[in-house]
Amino acid sequence: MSRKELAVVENVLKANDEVAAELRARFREAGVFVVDLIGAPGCGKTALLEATLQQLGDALTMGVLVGDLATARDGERLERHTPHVVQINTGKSCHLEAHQIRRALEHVDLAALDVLVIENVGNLICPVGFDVGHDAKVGMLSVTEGDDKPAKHPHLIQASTALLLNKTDLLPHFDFDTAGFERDAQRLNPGVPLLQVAARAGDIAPWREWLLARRGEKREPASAAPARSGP
Amino acid sequence: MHELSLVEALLERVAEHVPAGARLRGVRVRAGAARAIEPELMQWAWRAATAETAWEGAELALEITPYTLACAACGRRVASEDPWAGCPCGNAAPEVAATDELTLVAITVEDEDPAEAPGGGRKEMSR
Repeated sequence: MSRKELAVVENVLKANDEVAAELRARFREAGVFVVDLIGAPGCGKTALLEATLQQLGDALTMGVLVGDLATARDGERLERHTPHVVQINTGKSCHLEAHQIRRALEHVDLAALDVLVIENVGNLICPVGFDVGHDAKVGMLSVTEGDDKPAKHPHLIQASTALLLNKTDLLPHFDFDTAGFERDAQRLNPGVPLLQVAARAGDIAPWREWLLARRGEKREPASAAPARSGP
Repeated sequence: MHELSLVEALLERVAEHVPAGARLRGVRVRAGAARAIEPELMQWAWRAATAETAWEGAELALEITPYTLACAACGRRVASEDPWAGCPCGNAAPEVAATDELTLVAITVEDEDPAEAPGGGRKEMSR
């Protein structure tokens, strides 16, 4: 029996990344700015999107693909504000992959949208490494999780185009070092915007402005910024 | 537990490269630190996914490329598994970089014993 090593040198996630590239082309064609929103369970992803839909409903049309292991609860919350919601139940999977997004898009009229947010499965680790055709990955953390999360989750911070810090209205009640949080984040990803919000209080101005600005850039093809974590 | 998903993707890639009539003995994979792969979990997922298939026993050799710490104070570039390790010069805050590559580098195969029935190495996985 002869044993030999054959060189391959190929991206393991080639199949996912090919579908993601196809999605990215469709999003570009439709002029839709796509955010992959990643954060822990309970950090306020759905609350942020509810507030966003309420406040930006007149300015832009936003669709949401919501990933959860089970239940349609988040989808139902968002459907009160927009008809463009698709709930994706992932079963046991801890993150969304490009083929799941492609399937969900069968139920979405991309031409009607300005912005599409992919609310990933609540998890700070697994969703980070999968390209879903997004323009921006946005990592979302919250005051209640503690100020050490950028240090403990460097991968999310490095892959993020912008970072959200939610529940800032609770800062007076927590021993949270905002400066230290920001210092760690900036060391991992110099220049990354830190958008401080309090979603349940409706205080989301930095995120709203960031979203409108990035959406505007995508509309003008000449200045379209490439996705940071794209292929 | 994204390791199981990564292994599933890896099996798909490997299947495209194992020559007909050859038996898979090993795969070599290189991953950047930004992949956040836990090597033990990856090995566990690999064994679970290949158990009771024609690829059972094939070894996964996983190389994790560490972080690069680039120091603005002394100009050193140091490889480190710990993103928060300071620079040896004393600077506690060098710049931290890592790649998110995940590459199937090579596969090791053996000519299959003709007495053994050939079969695919894939099996359906739930995750």
